[in-house]
Amino acid sequence: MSGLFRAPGTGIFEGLETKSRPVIRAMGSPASLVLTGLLIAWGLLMADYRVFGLTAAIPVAILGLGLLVLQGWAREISLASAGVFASAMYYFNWLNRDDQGQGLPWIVAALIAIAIATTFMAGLALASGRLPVIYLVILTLGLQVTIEKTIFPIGYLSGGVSGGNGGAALIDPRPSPLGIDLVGDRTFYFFALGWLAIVLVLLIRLRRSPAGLAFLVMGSNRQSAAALGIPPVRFRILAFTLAGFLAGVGGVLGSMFYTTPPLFLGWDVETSLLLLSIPVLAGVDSMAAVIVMAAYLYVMPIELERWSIEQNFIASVALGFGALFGARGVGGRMQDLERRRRYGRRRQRTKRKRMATAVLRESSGLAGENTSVLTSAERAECLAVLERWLPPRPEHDLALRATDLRLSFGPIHALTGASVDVPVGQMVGLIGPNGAGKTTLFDVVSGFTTPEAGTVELFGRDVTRTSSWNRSRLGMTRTFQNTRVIPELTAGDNICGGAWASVDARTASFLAGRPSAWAKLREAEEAGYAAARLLDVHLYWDERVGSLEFSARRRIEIARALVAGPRLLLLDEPAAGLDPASSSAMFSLIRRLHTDLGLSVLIVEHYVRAVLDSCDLVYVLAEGSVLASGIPAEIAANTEVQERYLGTRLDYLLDFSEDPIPQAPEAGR
Amino acid sequence: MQLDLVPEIVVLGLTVAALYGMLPVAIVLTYRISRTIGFVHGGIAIFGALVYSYLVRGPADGDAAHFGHNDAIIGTTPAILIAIAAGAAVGIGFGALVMSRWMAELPGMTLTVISIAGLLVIGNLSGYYIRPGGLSITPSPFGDGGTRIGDVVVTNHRLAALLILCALVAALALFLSRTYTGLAIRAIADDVEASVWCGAKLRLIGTGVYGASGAIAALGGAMYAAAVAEPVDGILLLLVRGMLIAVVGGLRSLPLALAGAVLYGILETALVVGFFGDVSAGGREVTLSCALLALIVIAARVRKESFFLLERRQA
Repeated sequence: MSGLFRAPGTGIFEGLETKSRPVIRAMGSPASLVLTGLLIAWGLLMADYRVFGLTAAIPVAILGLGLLVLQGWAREISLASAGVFASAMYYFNWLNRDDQGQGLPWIVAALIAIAIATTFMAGLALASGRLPVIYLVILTLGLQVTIEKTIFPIGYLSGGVSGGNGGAALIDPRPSPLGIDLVGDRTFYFFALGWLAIVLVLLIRLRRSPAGLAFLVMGSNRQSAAALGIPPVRFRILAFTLAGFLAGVGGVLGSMFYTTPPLFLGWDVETSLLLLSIPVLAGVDSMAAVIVMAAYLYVMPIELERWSIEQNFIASVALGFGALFGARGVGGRMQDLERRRRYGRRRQRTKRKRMATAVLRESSGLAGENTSVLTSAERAECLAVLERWLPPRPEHDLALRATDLRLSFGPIHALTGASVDVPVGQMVGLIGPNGAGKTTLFDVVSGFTTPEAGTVELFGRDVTRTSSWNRSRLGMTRTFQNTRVIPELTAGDNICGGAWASVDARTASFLAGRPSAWAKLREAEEAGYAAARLLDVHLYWDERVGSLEFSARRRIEIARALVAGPRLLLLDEPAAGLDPASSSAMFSLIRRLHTDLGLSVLIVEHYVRAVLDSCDLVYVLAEGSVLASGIPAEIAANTEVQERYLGTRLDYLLDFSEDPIPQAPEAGR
Repeated sequence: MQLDLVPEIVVLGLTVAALYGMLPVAIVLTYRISRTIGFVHGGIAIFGALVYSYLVRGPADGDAAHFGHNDAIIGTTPAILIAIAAGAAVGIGFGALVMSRWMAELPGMTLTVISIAGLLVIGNLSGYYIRPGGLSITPSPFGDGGTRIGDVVVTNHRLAALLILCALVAALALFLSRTYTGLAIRAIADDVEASVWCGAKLRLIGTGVYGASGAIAALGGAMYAAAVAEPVDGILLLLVRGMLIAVVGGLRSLPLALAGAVLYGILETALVVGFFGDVSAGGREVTLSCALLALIVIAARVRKESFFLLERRQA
């Protein structure tokens, strides 16, 4: 039965709150209730000029929400926001205007204006989607200038350089949707609030959907997104498209509000730069902070008029100040307060206790074979949940076959004919000295680097030219030597961030709020929570990963990789940076996951003892090719490997030399 | 196409490139040291332009009858030197801030946003407090005369700007390749951590580079102020152009940035003088933007740059 109908927080899922009905959850917080109350009270009680000021802020708030998607979620920067917003404003006015305009119905005019704004941003992203982020920042600046030079001077759109379109009227009276008279500013204020509410509902649903998490994973790190099956270029283009769409929606609303388009001087490069202060202060994903910031930019200058303080100065100070808060912004601090209120003193108290006991617990309890605090029944249930989530086991002998891989970086030959096989259901170790080509081999196998020669087969299918995200969707996921989790998000969000490619529901279904879609997400959450319990990080589910210790982050990354639905797991130095006890614990955990879930695992590691203890098959790489391969005892006994890598005086070599050499697996080469 | 216009287009294009080329030099220098886009140089250029204009035109006193009078505080040569020094001081101040131990650990994008804030704060404060008056046009330190090159007369000011730019790029190229500090700067650009381990003084060198690039930006602003009537609005456009030009060189190569400026200057001049027929102002902008976008995409492909690659470098 679907998890949606199960009482939340029971059995092994104790502590897991449902993410369905995200809008009700978001609106139920005190901060949201206070903000909603203030906005309504403002429209009812404040003086006309103040209501006017805040109404002017609402279209900019919608624009700011688009910037939040782009900058907060996808970590891209657009410096064309003012130009795109103003374009939608001018085109709507012209298309809807009867006098010297096109006289189209307002809804048609709105759709065309929004489409124009969307096309600007989507077009730029499509043309340059594969360029580095920093280039795209500058190209958006170019787009802004192009709009200023091409659209702004057109008289019938903006009034022209001197304004007023040479004396001809540009007045476009406010429409009357559903017969509602919007002439009064106070009525229009509530109409604009309605638009804002619709946009917020859709964005909250998007943020809580797998696609929203995929945006955040992509924004945090492109490579880890690709490794989890999230196509980074597509999500990058989507982020720009969505930002353009919301700029268009805001522009249309602004055009309705002003009736005569405002002078384009207010929508130039400088304004685009100033508008950055909205997402910078709002942080990664605080929509309430976006609204507050937009209101601040438009209401504060009215209040500070007596001191001749301009909007530009307020915004530039806010921008510099906001940047100092880092990616989380002021909105992130507000969310921390809210989280503290929601989870109360229990979290505060246990956090210190956990931090103090973590090292002891991991070095004693986890280091042994009994790696989890779960009971056998709980463990079995977690495994059953995860097994249901993972894709069916492929019927093939080899999970991975990399054959004769060759790759050079200028004069450096990183791979000189390396060949590695990973038999299905086996744990394979890859060891070798620094510079042997291990990470390059991993990158080639993952699809981040294309080899000059050689082939990579995944479950019998040639994937040499397949993108990294499509390889992931074929059942291969990897982790990284430098843990790449999103520090601003909770452990739960991080883990569920791997689920995008595996959740069988369309994003449109999430936006429409269809229960079946949220039920699918609930299954992903349960799989993630089960993985978190198996890796003993479930207690951190609602805590920001940035506040956790290193070992927990690494286990969260592994849990995220599991939720991506792998049958082959590539682990790049999972024990790097851990003390010997924690390293042993980590290998025990990996070994048990491998055994219990039947995963094939390829592991790169410098901690040789752990590799020899845990792996079924070991490859030794040196100077870009395989020096030796075989079962651990054979590797330990190999004199050439000893001379070139292991040395001859290590204790563990004695351990292996005393054991009879077990039979090598058939598929190993 | 009117081929007889080619010599004129090349000569005028080069002089246009001289005005566009100063800011990319400053942007490339700071990108190499900090991996952030130096938006702040736009603010420093505005500051330099206003300081220079203020010194050679005198303060605005709001008296309309006074308009057009020369109230120069000092001569043009000391004025431009003071503007350069003031730009260097602002650059050093900003550099000391962003190269501080706390800020250096912030992500590149955050530092870029801080740089944008720097541009806006410096630009706004300069515009608010430094108000040149007197003459309507800022006089050039190189006089009003012109020089004939073939059939084309070029103002001495623009010619001097071109020579200064070429000398600057050559000197910086030599400095980066022949001196220990230059080697340290290149090392920092490639691998910050390794260069620090090798003894490069990151904060000192970083602050120095910001100071030098601040001086170049202020020089660019002052030279621009003497070429146009309303420099402040134009400098933001100059900054945008400069950034696009710098991207052609991958934000790392000074000679390629110079080549980008020359190409851009020549293309813009060709469009303006009607080499491709009668093109509207909007059409010119679209053509220039598309040409630069194409150039940037091609250059990135040639350099095999993708966001994966840059991400790895930053990691």
